[in-house]
Amino acid sequence: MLRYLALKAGRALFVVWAAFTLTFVLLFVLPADPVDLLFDPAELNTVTPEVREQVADGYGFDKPVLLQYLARLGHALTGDFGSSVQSGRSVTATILDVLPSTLVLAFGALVLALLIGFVIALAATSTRRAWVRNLAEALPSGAVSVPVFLSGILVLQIFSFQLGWFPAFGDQGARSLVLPMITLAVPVSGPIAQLLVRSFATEFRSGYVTTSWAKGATRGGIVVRDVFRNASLPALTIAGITFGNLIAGSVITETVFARQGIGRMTQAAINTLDIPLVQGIVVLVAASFAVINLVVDLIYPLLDPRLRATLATGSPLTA
Amino acid sequence: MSDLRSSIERAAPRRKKWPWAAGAVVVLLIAASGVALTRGAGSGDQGATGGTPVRGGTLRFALIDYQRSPDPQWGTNYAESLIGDNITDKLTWQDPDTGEITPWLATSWEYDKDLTEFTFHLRTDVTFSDGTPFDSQAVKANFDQYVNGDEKLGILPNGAALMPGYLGTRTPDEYTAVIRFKKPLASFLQASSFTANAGPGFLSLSTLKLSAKDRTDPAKVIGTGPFVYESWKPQVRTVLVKRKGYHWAPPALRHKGEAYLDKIVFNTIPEASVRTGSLESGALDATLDVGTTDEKSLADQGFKIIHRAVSGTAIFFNLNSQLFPTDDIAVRRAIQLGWNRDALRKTVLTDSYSVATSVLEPSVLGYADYSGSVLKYDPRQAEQLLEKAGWKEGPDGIRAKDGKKLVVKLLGINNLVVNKPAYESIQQDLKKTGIDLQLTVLPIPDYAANVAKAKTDWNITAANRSRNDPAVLNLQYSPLLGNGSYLTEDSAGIDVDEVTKTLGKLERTLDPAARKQYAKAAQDLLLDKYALVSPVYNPSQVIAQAGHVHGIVFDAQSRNHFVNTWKNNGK
Amino acid sequence: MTAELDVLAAPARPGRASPPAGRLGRLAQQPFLVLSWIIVLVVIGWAVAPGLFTSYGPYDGDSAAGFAPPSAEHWFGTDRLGRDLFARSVYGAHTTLTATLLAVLVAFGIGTVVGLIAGFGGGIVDTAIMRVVDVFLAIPSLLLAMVVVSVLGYSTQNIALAVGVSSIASFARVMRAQVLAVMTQDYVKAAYGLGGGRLRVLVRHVVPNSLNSVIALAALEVGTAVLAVASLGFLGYGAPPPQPEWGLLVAEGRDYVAVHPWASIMPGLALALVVISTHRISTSYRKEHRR
Repeated sequence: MLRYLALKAGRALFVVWAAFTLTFVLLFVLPADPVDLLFDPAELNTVTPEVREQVADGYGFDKPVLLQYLARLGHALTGDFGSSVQSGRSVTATILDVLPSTLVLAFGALVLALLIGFVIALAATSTRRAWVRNLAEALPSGAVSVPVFLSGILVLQIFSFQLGWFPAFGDQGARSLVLPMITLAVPVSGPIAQLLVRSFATEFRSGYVTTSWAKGATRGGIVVRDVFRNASLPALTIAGITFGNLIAGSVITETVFARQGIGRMTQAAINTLDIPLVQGIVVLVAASFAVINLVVDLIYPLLDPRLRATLATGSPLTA
Repeated sequence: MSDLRSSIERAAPRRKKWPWAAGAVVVLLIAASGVALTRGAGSGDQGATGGTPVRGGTLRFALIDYQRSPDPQWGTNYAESLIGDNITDKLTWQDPDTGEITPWLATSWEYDKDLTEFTFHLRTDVTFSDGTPFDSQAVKANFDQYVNGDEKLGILPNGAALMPGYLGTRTPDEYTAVIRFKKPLASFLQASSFTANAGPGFLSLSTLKLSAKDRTDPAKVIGTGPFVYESWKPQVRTVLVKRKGYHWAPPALRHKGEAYLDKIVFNTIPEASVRTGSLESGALDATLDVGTTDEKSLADQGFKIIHRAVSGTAIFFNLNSQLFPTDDIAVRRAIQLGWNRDALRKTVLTDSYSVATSVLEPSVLGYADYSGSVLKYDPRQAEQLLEKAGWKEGPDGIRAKDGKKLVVKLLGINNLVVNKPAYESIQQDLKKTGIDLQLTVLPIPDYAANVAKAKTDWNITAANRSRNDPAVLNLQYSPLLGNGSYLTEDSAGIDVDEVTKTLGKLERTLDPAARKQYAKAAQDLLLDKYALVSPVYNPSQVIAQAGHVHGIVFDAQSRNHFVNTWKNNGK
Repeated sequence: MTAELDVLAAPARPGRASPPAGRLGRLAQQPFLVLSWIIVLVVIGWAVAPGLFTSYGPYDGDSAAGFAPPSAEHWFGTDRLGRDLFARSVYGAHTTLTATLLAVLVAFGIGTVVGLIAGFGGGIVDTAIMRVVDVFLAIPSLLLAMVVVSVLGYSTQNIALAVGVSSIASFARVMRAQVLAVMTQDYVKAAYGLGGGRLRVLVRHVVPNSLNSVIALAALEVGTAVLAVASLGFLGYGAPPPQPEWGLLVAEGRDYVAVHPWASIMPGLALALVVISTHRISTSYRKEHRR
């Protein structure tokens, strides 16, 4: 068990290190010079080479690439990703500043997405009407088929500008959270709903359900009592994918709703070639992803009674 | 009145009291509009003309960009210059209507004959918001750091391009500062009032000692301006509150004492439809960066659209004079003549914008109108020029010469909403004359990356430069400075020396009549004799504001100053 | 960027092609599937022969007819330069589908091979490859695509490449899982037992039987890629003008959404229909090959 744990943790660490290295390499082969971006584009031709050199020197961009890499890696190990080229603030502080906004938004959207997913799966499983089932099964595709920015802008037009129910921008108060949360939750709910629909259906046909049928249980009763718990577990396996979807969705949602957050900061950082900041964000995202998968790997066997039994009898886990 | 207002502000977020607050607001609104009506006001929007200014209130403003740092001497976007201009003051104020340089922190000035030494006599009653005095030492410390930067503190040489050849500042007494340059620099007088990107607004000595990192704490960024920072939240908003005891607004603004507003909230809203919708729904009092297609519907709903063209150059197509095929003057002239100004005005521009009639925007001293000569739509003449120069139409409608096609590659920035459709409109027209204009319109960073390769890769660079002084032509096109058309010995048929000398004269005199004459000579060279540039349109800053907002000022670089601004809706 | 729908279903069984008549019969019972195929085929038609579907050209602007609402004359309305938006959508299908195809080919081609090598090779090869795949999975694909576009530069091809590259890892993972599952099947063991060489078993049994899920994923990826290109267009990484491209049409139209909503909604609708259709086709393909 301890070996298993160490192996998984080692993999997670590798992912984080590789993400760090990968972004470093990618950003170093970028065609643009980050120093150029510190000046007014119209004035670029007027900036003298001496000034350029002096600025590059100040950021350490003139040192050999390998030295820069090692220096950055060394600092990163202590949690120091250097300073943002653009604002001069420390990367860690800059990220920590905006992280809470994104966490609140992402968490809210996740809860909502799960809710949507369960409602769709329940509707698909518990109904006897074919058209309801068909519709419920088609919804997950619908949820991911509209570009997030378009749905966000349309939602704003209706609920904020026409009806005036919610504020359109900013991050003050719970009401300003509603529209971005819905916009982000819809595409995230797609894969969750699809997976739940499928695993609900599988469980519904399985042996213990047949037993309950025989005991004279109702359809709804079975769904709630037996299927619900067992069928929900597989949702954990796409926790990593869901996390990625939340991050990608937040890039766009935060822009449309003018919110502060990691997503919008990422875009700005990539656009301005703010190497230290991009690196800090990518490492944070990769580390979160690795941790989530690690946790799922570790707790999944504990939650699923059938797997728990397998573990107890000592039979090998299948790949 | 103020008690009632603050009780409404306190009550507003609470849900239960909402109907009461709303009721009170409605009553106030009706009262305010009643007052406005009985006075017969509401038509004007410039300070004193909009009725009697009301003190107090919060202006909720929106724009597309945000400040990446509160440091006003740094920054290359509009939010950074605009907000910086409201927390700092400059030595002089340039009249946006006449272009004249008028007193501000300096009451008077003189300069030597060579234009290498400028002596400013400062006001004696100005203080920074931390209470320290503004004096000649502050001027010296600011300019020294502004031009040279400070490597240890991570401060960039922000002013290096604005004040080339800066030698230093002498301080003969507490309130006299003498700024010295290596070479004549006539444009420095205007630079002392400069309000666009990375402007020379004064910071306290304590702020100048801070590193770039420490300047991200807005409480530590101290200026002399009419407003001070309350908070700064990157990507989201900057909040300014009025400076107590401020009484040194530029005399030209005829504003006495402190700013009228208590507070300004600058909201960053990237999406055009959200800015417009929020203004309509009343969540904003005014917004900058109004989409061209939204102007009309906002005006129809009773919002006021105010605008000012950005002084400096027009949005220009700088033609690369030494790269095939724009090394052929016939091609350059055909590009000037080959696109329909009327179509551009009708489909892309609104009344807030204008088609360029020179490389200079009309408010700049020395502007001359070329719409009757070289800057007009004359497709037949364009075709004749190309025919004569040996460009024959190919089977696909695109001309070619010696087997090489007439393909012109353009590099542009997508920072202004009008750029892309404007360039596409020109592209459509040029195609009819047999020129294949290929567009690459990029975000600023990618544009910047490509400008480095522009000499060898791009026939046209499209941008503009904001600077209300004719010397902007020297900065932008002199082969010794910006060299916008890449003049080299390979530039066929162009006397490079002549260009250098003609443009250079603009820095050698401050006599308006002489400068006008030199500016005309410079435009003749750039537009007519060598056809080095095809100006497109004059960019504009456009604000849509609610009827209760008055006195938002556009300065000579079209940045906004809010010292004069007031609201009469009681909020 | 869109969410990635999971297609890692139950391990594939040895596939057997159904008789064609039966397949047609089943199709008739599934009107949504038929509709999906029709939509996809029409859009492919747009891409191949746009001139058959519209009499307007994608670049022909009529400056007097800017921002016309949808009408019998202009089905989708016109844009600000007076260009017919239906024509731009029809001609845009070519750019969009070419880009999508390129993205899917990159993801499918590289991802499948990598997954196959990992699953079939096993041991250290598998470990090495899968750790690299882990890294790519750990970075959300939109982020990865943004960085890749920044590196490669702006053009439709590069955007397609970026989207493709960012999906390689998903394909590799699915392919590997399928290969592993197939290799535990009795018939594969039997093939070995009958004296089949490694390569022979790989080509005759493992590859064909592993591909089903990956093909289903590829069908999904079509929708994902269309949306990814649109999202990148929204973030400012668009195709060069005046080339019409769906994502860009939606992204550029959004600025006028309050005044001229159709400029964004009509191409957006076309885009959504295609994505839903590819999902439907992907689902039915997967179901059919699982029975």
